[in-house]
Amino acid sequence: MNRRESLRLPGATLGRSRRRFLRQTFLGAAALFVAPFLPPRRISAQIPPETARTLRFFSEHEYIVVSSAAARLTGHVPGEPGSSGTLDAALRADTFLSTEDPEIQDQIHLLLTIFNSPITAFLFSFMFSDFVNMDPADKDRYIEGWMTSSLGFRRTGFQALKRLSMSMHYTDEHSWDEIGYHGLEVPGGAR
Amino acid sequence: MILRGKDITGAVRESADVCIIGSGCGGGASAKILAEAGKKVVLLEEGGYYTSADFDGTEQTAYQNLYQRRAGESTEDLSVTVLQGRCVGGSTTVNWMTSLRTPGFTLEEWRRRFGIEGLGAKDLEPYFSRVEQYLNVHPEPDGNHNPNNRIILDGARVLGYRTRVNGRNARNCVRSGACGLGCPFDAKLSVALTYIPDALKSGATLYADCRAQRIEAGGRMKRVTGDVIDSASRNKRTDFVIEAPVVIVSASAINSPVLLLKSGIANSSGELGKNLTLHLTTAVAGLFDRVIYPSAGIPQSVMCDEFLNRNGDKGGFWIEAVPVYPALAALAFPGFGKPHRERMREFPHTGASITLVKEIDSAGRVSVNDHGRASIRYEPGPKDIEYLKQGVAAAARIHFAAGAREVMSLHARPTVIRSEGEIEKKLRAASWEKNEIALFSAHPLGTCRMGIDPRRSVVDPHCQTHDVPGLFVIDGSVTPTALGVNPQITLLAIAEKSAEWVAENFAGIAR
Repeated sequence: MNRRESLRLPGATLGRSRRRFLRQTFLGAAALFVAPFLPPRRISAQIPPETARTLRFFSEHEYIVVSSAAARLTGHVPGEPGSSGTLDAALRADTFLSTEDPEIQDQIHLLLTIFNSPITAFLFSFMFSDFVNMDPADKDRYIEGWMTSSLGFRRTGFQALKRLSMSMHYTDEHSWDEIGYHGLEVPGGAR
Repeated sequence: MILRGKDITGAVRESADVCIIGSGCGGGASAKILAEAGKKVVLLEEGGYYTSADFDGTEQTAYQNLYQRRAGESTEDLSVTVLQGRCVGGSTTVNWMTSLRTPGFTLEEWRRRFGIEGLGAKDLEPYFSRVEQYLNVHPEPDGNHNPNNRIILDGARVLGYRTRVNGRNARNCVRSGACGLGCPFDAKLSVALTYIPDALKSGATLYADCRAQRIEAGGRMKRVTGDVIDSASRNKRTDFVIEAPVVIVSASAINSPVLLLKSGIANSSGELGKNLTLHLTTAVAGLFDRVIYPSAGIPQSVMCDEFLNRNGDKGGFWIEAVPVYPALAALAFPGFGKPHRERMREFPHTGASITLVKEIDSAGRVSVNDHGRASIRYEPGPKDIEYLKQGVAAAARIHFAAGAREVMSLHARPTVIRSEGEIEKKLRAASWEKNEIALFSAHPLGTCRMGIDPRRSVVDPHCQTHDVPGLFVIDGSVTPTALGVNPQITLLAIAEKSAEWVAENFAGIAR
């Protein structure tokens, strides 16, 4: 597979994240207003230089947020026993989103800013950290808060992140062995 | 002749008798009928032209190449995922081939509520028959049902629910289960392998990778303008202008109203884009001790229609099997993290069924957003939500009757049911608010509604717009209500009938 082909990432449902999910409620609108003024938090995690050079859509900061969220969402935490070390859902998402419509790209940038913001974490979950610096249990509690929120825009934000992470992970054939999926099969072995 | 975006180097300027926008059921069937009637037909398709050699049976390739917005189309609030084909052949390239005639009660409702004559069961019978013969529609023999469809057959039999074996438009099917990813074996008799080649044989020209942006309908000759796009990057390469006295819009119930709204035509009724129905769909997943392997075999060979129009209100639901591929399963399965991952590891033992609601009180609408794209809004009505709940409960009962050891719905907060006795209680406790349960649609319909009253509808019973003579909409947009069956046979029959009318009544347009 050449590089060009390898970049033709799947789509699954990422496009849906383009929506104006944040404009549906008062709090969503408020978050949208505040988001551009949120200071970027210093993130202690480092990404490999070769990965950083590859990024086409995410900033390094955003890449870490997505990587961290994808690990909790898919349950494949790098370094944990049994987790696939060959999959980088965030990097695949970066490539995928780099060819998306500008309107979708804008929404994703905003979502990541708000999702990782310590202000958001405090307002909605009474947590005193940005997402990437939470411990794993807090990260799961924080994500669950988005999933089960009574605010429509947070549930929509959860859906966007879940769809991004899951589709990037499970369209990669490296994920198939674990779930017992064998790809295209034909009774009788035609083709 | 087929021209792809990459083959087109300069601006396209062409005239024709008929310009058709979209190459799915409506556009493909219309192109064949009109080309065979001697018309000069230009067929435009926004998506690419792909053949079985391009279909590798993976979600990655299929979503990228064959689906609208890379399978990412959805309502504005992300609550309903809308799956549509975007390629030559449209959704017929990626559907699961279920081929069912329009229910008689639906056609009768069209006559009674919308005054539509000529589309009754008897009127459409010759068209249904012709379409079915042309596409080799046939039911599968009993031995061909895969374990996932067997769940419905066996479970429904235990419960005494009515089932039927679906017709399918296939020939020499090898039962790979790849139908939704493009058939790599040319066994699926999609529009791309039937109507379109026949249209081309009769002289039609197909432009793939050509996105129509506007229709100007000021005079007798209409102008369709748009962009020729690069199939890989989807960026504009050049533009095209097609002039024709007859324009047929067949861009789907999502994109046909968008094109007409952007063009500022055919909306004197104010109904354009309204009346969207989706056949609102969700699923249950059952966990079995035996291997189901839900991605393999014929995806959808049976249905349970016990609950459709059961109390005479024209609503209700039906239940079908659904092929499960990894990414689709991961998106639909509830929750996240390790519990989600554990569920994914049960993939081979998972059976899945969908329940599809024939809506009667939901409200959907397609409009144009700031970027000129479709904006879909949909509010499920209380009766339809009730049918959705009943559908999930019925599907769960079927799974337990077929031997499932547990069944889960697609609620965001995992709702796992461990016995038939728990079904009502668990589903009553679950939230049915937006984004609390995964909802899908593969059947958007109704946004250019047909009727005889120009104040209440967009097109007449021949699919001609009330406002603009020579401008037609022939696709899923025109159905006045939801159907109650998978739509391809309905749409092909209506398309053939309408295209015949165009050929007969616009006989003078050929040079």
